[in-house]
Amino acid sequence: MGVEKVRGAESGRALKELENYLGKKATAVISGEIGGSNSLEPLIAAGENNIPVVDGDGMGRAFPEIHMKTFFIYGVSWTPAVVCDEKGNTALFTDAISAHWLEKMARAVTIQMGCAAVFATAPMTGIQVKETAIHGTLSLAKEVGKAVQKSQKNKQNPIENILKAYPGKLLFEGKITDLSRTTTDGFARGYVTINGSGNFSENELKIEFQNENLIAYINDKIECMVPDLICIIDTETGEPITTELLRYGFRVSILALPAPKNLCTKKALEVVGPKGFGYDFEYENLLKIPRK
Amino acid sequence: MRIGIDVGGTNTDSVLINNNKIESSFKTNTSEDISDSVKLSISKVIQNQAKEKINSIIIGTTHLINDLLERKNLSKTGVIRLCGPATKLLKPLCDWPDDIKKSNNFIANFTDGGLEFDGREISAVNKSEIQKLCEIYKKEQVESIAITGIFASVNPYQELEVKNIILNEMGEIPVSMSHQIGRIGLLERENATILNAMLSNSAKKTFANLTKIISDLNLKSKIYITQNDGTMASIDDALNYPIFSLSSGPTNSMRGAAFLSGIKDGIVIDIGGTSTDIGMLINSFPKESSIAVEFSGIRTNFRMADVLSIPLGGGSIINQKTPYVSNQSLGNRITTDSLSFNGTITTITDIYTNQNKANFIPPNQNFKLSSDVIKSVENEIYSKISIAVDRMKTDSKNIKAIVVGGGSFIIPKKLDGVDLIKFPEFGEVANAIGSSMAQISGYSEKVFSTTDLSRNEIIEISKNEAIENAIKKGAEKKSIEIIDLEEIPLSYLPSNAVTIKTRAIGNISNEFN
Repeated sequence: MGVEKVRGAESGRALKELENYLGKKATAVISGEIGGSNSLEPLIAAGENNIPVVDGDGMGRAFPEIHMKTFFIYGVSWTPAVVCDEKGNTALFTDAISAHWLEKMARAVTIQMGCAAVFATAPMTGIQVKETAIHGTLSLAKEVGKAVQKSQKNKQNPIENILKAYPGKLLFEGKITDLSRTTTDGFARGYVTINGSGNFSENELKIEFQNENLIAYINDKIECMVPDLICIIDTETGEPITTELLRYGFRVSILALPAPKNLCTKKALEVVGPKGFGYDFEYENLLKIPRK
Repeated sequence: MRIGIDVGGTNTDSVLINNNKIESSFKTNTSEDISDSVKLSISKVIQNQAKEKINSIIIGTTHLINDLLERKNLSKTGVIRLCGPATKLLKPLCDWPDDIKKSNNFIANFTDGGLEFDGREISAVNKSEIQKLCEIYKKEQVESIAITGIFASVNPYQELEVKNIILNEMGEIPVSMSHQIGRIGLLERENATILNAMLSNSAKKTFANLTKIISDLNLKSKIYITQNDGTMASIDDALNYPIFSLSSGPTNSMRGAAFLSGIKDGIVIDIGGTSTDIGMLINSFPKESSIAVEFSGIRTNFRMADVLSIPLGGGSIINQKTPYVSNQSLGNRITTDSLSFNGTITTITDIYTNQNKANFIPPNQNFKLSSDVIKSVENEIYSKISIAVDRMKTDSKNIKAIVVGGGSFIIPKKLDGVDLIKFPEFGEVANAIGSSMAQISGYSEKVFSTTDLSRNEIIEISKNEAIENAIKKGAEKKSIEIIDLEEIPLSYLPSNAVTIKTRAIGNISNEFN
């Protein structure tokens, strides 16, 4: 949707509407999710309202649903929330019995607005931001992006450069050989199979996804699980390949990156660990890489 | 009978085809003014034939892309985005190279209009707003207009409405509409639409020139222009959609290779003097690139052949030490500076002439190359081409390879993952043959909601639209087949929205041979 109805300045208005309801001015904004366009939306809101952006976000990665934000996991209220479109329509949610309910209602409104809308939620105090957000992720995203750009420009190995910017591990390398994808209830669920090449030849990696990649198996053994990040990267260009873009024959590298500490507490894992996505096993730290 | 011509940067190739057989072929250097080499080529290939037997002449040319690269003959363009209040943070031309953007060759505006993904209006077209723009265009002597509406590919009525208002206000002026040009992806489609509009002067000049050559030669043949995707367009269509003819060379060579070899699915390896182009053939058509295609630094979302070009050819210079094959080529200096032509520089060609493995006898054979070097060079070529072939393959199965181009003698006897290597006769003029084989295509791309319609119904609607489009453009109904169908689920939308892209192709319906 974002490629056709590219963004306007509606997030600036969403923030103003929330301020009007609260009768208070926002002193700063923060990204709800450091993934896709959501990571940059607060910059538009901040620019339109002339206030700063906090370097951080509420996920430290991408997740499919809003109740998975650390703000809510650690007790911030999800209401009041505002959904705005570019046409001038505004929906204000004063109460929702759960973040999940807010998500369902906001999605319903968003569809009527043309499947593209801006969402402003979780008004917080500075202390709440400090305690519940994942910090430094806007800068981190910028560094990862720079690493990819630099590799493309200087014809360097993008994978090595990405891992310098975000320390983690090259889990696998190979070619996509099988892909199953179904869209149900607005989520793309499925799996992708990758046949190994180079150091990984004769091995097979399988990733199960629900919009985001959840579990990576090598030869049927789990090697990385949510909330640790499983990133499918174009081996040659270093560009990320999202589940929508997956296609047979792509040559890809799979990176496993440790999730931030705030996502790995007992409280957070109930929501964003394997059980939060319907698996019947507990999270296990398989990466053994220091996390921030 | 028909003539196929490919006007490349270095060579102009031509062939005369009669009942799908090659009657004659000709290869010459491309002259400064392409008219000379085109004229020469046509006279050579039709030498012994009655002129009235030549029904059609199908031409592929690099002229438009050269004009774009040199910023020559470009039309002053009015740019309209039908968007209402949406998408306004990213202005038209926002990612274009500065020198074009600042050339004062554009007047760009946001206007009312635009659709949602399901066809609802973001806002309606505002007639008086467009009329006012036309006044400005007249004053500023705008020569061509590009209209892009949000989700115009779901329903084009707003773009058509605006075009009609403009034609009423301004009379005859070229108007490019995004729904006829690009795919979903507003900025890329808008870029392509603007490019198309600004190429209209260049197209007028080039194609008028070709028409003149044909009439100078007293030929009554129809003229067609080959397009980026292996199909052809009438001169009128090529005038309206110059962007589709911007880069047809790689596609023509792959299509020619398919025809010459009789292989429908495989990999084409086109080895020239400077580079080797490798691409997959799927059902006699080149596989298209899935990433954004750039023309002269301008990002579009075009259907283009996915061709991997590696710096390896007959003219590649041999280094003193390993790796022996360098990325530099002598290019057209090979016939003066290489060992085989009494020069001093060792090239890949010399490795082969030295072993009598080239397809020609060189002027100089009195040089000796060490067998170690020969062996290493052959190994390097083997590994370079094998790796490139593997990168382009779409699955791990072994495939057939078709080798064409002037440097085809450097191909190893075996390649990894390839179970047959074919060198078709006339491979050196594969491009011109590709031109002569061009077909007509129809395309459909739409977002559907699967809540109201079943998957089969959706696919049927999409197929029919592609077929209708092909027929509209002049394809023969009974020859039309669907060659491509792709479904892309749009995530996060509970209505289970899906994009379907379908392409149909067929032979041209009027008399051809």
